[in-house]
Amino acid sequence: MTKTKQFLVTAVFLALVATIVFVSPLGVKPAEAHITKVYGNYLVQVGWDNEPVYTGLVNAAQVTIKKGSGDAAKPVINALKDLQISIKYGSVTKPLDFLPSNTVDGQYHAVLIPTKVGTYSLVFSGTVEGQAVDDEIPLDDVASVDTLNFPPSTGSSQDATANVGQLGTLVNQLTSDIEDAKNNADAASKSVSNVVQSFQQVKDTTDKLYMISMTGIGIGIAGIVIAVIAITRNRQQN
Amino acid sequence: MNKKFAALLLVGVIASGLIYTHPAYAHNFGGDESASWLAKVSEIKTEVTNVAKHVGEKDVIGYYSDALGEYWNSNDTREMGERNTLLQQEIPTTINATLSDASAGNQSKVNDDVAKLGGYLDESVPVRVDKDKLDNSTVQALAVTFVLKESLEKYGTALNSTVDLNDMSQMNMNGSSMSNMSPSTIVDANAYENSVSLATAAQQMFSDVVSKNPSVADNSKISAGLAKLVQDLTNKADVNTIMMDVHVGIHPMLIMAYNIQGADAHGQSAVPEFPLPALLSIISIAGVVAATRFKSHLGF
Repeated sequence: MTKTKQFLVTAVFLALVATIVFVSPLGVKPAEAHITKVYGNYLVQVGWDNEPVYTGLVNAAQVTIKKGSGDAAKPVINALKDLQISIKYGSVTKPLDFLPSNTVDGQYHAVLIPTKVGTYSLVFSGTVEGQAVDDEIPLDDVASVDTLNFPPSTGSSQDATANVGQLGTLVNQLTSDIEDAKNNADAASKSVSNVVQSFQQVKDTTDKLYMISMTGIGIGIAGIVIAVIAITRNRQQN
Repeated sequence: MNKKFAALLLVGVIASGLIYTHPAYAHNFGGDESASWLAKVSEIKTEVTNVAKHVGEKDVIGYYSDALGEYWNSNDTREMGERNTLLQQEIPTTINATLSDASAGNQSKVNDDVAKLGGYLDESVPVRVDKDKLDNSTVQALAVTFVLKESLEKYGTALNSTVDLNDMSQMNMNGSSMSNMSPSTIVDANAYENSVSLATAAQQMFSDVVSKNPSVADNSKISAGLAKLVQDLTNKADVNTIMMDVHVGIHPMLIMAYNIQGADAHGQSAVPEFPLPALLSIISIAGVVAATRFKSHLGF
């Protein structure tokens, strides 16, 4: 009887642990499957590369396009040729530059860092092999990265002071980097300007040489005419 | 008699200076990697399209197999792998599949291969070429010149010409044929077909450039120059006509309109040639002066 009781207690304890571990780890919503929508004979699947999605972490919007239905559907190569895709958060949109996947045909990724908690969606405009795809498809919700932070970033006043100090250093560094970039841009601009100027000088010189040569030819011809006239007169006098 | 002969000789020298005039720029285009990739994509597409026209003709497929080997080699596979392992594998595999299916005489499979390869090549462009370069009109125009260069090279092979069509200094600038110019008899039909198709590809590429940069002033003149080139190639014009089409009718305007010098990463820009007309004129004038000054010593 004691052994049975011990077994039951152990089983209940393990069940509780399993529930905590698998059902609500850190209170984060589990990853949902990517959303697939059908347009004519084409399947468009959207989602994030890494789910669940947290603010401030590098992720990527993922789009997979196939032709056909079910398991028989085949990936469409260069599917985004005539398709523009933007990401939308609230009323803000940004066009995305998708690159083909390293591993899966017909799959494309656009790297981005979601900065705010909430719902993002992909806005499609254009065609896939002639099939119109004009739609807005929601992505999985983005959660705050604070749920993963340890220790919490909103800590004591000492932490806050340290953070401000770090922030100040970062701002200084950023200011210095921007200054460097500005100087480099100015130098590049001057360099381009010099190149243009040099080319113009070369062109001017060539034009001048051409003019001189033409003038020379004229003088030469005149010289010959004068010489011929002089020789002819000289002969007549003799 | 001697005087007349001397006068005629001098007139002839001066006249040669007048005849030998041409735009004084040599066109040496540098190796911008982004433009090279854009050109490579266009060249490979052109070659496999030609393969699809000759399914079952093993000799012709052999020629295009060699040409494709020039445009995609192990370096390209390695470089592609640095950016995308799927394309690294699929592009050479699909090129080989196209050649293999063409040798086996399977037209339908070849058509599928060509479409698939075109898709992979298009996908490779944003992978291999950064967005700012892709949107840069100078890079786009430079890619056109690279494809034109290949077209000229193939035309030289087609005629078995001793003239390097890409070497502007070998061009006869007075516009008429000279004895050292090869006749327009085609000795290599594959190279000829390849040359015309590459020129047509360059023309198409430039149309795309125009659609992205419609406000550039000389677009219509360059388009007309490319149309003339394709027409002259189709008509099997002589080497000099083709060289004039490219080096006089297209390159100078492309250089100026799209500021191609700026894209040259290796400092090889368009440089002025020595003004030969000026030299001939100076010599002629010196001759006239000498003849009139020292005529008594010369026995005139």
